[in-house]
Amino acid sequence: MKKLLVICAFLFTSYTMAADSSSGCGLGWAVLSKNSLVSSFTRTFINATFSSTIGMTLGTSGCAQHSIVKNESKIIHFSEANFYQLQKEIALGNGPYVTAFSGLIGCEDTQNFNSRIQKKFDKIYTDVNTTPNVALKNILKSVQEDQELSANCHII
Amino acid sequence: MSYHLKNIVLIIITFVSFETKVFSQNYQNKLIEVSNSSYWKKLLHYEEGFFSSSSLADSDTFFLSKNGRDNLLEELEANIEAFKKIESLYTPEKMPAQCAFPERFNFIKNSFSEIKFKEAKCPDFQKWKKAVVGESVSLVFASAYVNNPSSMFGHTFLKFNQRNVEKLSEDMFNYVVAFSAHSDSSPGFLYALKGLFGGYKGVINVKPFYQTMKEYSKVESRDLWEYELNLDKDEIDSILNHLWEIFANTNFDYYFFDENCTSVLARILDLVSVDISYVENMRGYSLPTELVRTLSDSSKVGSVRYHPSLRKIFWAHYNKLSDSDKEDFHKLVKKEVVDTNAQVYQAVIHYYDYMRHDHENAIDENFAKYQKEILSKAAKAGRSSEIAIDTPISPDQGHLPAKVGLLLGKRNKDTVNSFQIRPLYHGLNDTDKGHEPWSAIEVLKLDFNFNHDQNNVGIENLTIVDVQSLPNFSFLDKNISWDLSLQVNPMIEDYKESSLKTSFSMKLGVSKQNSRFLFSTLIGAKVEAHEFYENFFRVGPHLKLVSGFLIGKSKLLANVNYFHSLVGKGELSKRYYYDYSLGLSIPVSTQGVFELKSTSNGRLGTFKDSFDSYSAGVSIYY
Repeated sequence: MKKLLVICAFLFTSYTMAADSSSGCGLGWAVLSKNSLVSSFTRTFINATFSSTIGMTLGTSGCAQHSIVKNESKIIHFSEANFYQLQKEIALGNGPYVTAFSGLIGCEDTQNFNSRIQKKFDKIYTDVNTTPNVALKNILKSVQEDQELSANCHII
Repeated sequence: MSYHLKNIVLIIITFVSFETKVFSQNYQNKLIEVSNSSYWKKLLHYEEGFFSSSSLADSDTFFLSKNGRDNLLEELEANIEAFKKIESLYTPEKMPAQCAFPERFNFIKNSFSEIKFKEAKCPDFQKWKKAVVGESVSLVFASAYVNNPSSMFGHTFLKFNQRNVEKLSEDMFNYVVAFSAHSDSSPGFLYALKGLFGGYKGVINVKPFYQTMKEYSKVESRDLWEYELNLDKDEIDSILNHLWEIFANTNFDYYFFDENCTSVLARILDLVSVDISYVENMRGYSLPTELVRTLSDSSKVGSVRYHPSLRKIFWAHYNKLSDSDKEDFHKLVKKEVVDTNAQVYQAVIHYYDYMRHDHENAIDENFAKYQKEILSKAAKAGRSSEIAIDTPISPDQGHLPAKVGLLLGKRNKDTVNSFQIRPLYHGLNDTDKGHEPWSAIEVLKLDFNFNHDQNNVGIENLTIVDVQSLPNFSFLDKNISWDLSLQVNPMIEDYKESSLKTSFSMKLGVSKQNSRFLFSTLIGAKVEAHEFYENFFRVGPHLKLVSGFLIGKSKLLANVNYFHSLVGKGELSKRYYYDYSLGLSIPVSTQGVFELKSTSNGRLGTFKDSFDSYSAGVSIYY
């Protein structure tokens, strides 16, 4: 339950994850935090110049740790980075991404998780504009509401 | 002080100073010896050149001495001094030298046991290492993306396997370490140009494997091949320590041919290789396939795994559908209402996923809405069974990249010997085993001949670069074919065989192909330059037809070109020409091929002016 609270805290605060692209964090990010096309370009330039790869990896310099991901934010990063893959495999009821995700949230009976979560597809992806954060929130809610899943998954 | 005592003191002083001198001389010799050791050179990425020798690393923070880039001894001395103290000065993040250069520290500590070095606490490095380290390391090869010139040689990176590699779902959380160009611009012509002539910095980056899987196999539709390496714990440790040294401290210039993902990885792997030097196997250029092949041949490779691209996944699912299911598939794609089964939905889902990633420009709001609708219907249809996808021949099984050939033949009525040499990489007439079928990328191919009757040597063709991407076009997968060629050829159509012209052409078109057959139509423009031409150049449309057949293991290729210059005065018939060629390649061994070739140049309606040649001979890959 504690883990779930941590994730929810991440999801409900204004905290947003950095995108997959390496532009967006590192030393350049700390220098220019305004996210515009020009600053994005400048950030990349600064990052390249000062070799801020450590910052990009360890989450220093205001970076969201997208490379070496903290355990708590791993679930968020994974579900965000693989939004379409996860959506696709939840609809199919199987696949490596949904299987990896079930392991990540502590649902070890993968087959059971995959087929149960498949039935909740419409509840998770309510419309075409469902964001990764809302989708994750809906998955966790679905797991919590499902008696069998909530009993078998460690995260809850 | 008595006379005797004075003498004794003098003797002791002389002895001690002699001892110190001997020690200092020995230490100096050892310093020189260690600084010239191959391991120290490898740690500094030191390259010995013909005129000068220096490190390939391009950042000052990689060297502790002012002259460290060129001077191995000074750099070693500076490192020894730094490791005797704990000063948080190094890397842009300011940490002690022991933490910034852990592999150098281990090497120096082991080499100079007589010196007392200080051990430092390295929380950043330890955190990084703990996250990345694995029980085994795999070299991952991302094959060429079917239609992207900048990926045509493939890509390589290292993957550290913390968990069972066979279990894909857990494998996804392993980390991948890659050396790649730091670029913000999307791949294109400028990207390729900068990659060839410099302009990019190459940096080490670290990502979870799920991110890499998504980028390569989904977004770019490239197959991934994973070669697990037989390395022990200490070797993995050394590699990881050294990766950190590069990661934290430096970057390298990035060039597509010689200083690329593969050359840096080869140097890193070379640190722990005792029985084979990957670096020595590189010949002025480094090809990802060659690193993979060298490793495979060296018994350093354990198991090999294949991760198909999204494109291959879709086609495998589509091809497994029955005829009636295929009908349902097409109806669904046309947005007709059909009551169908989970297998059909599965194929449609893979199709839309592939479209979304590979044909990004075809995506609009309606597409996204319909994709969502299909996903929702599939979820209601229940679970579909997974299908097995065939593993193709791995890239290390293909032919070697350089080729040399000797052919004998006739040119019109003269007897001619022709000699061909190509340093890289893969021609349309080469066997496709281990390569993307019916694709070609050839660089610096030289074809010259000796004419026995006229007793002279002449250039038949110099291909500076020739790229042909001829993927299959279908209404489900609308791939456009293209080709680009920069060549120097004799002006045989103008009867000036000894005079050379330069030509550049770019064409677009469509191809139908499978593993045994190709038919391709391309149209574009060609520019030819020669002082003989009015205003030195000719320009106009260029048409090209290519067909190919596999007969057993032999490959038959027919090529027809037609060029019509729009500039130039004089007779119209003088401004156009055609050429065609017919070639048969018959493999005679794994790295040898017997070739038959016939070419003809001429002008329509004037067959008496045509210029014909026939030749046969053997080419060897090396």
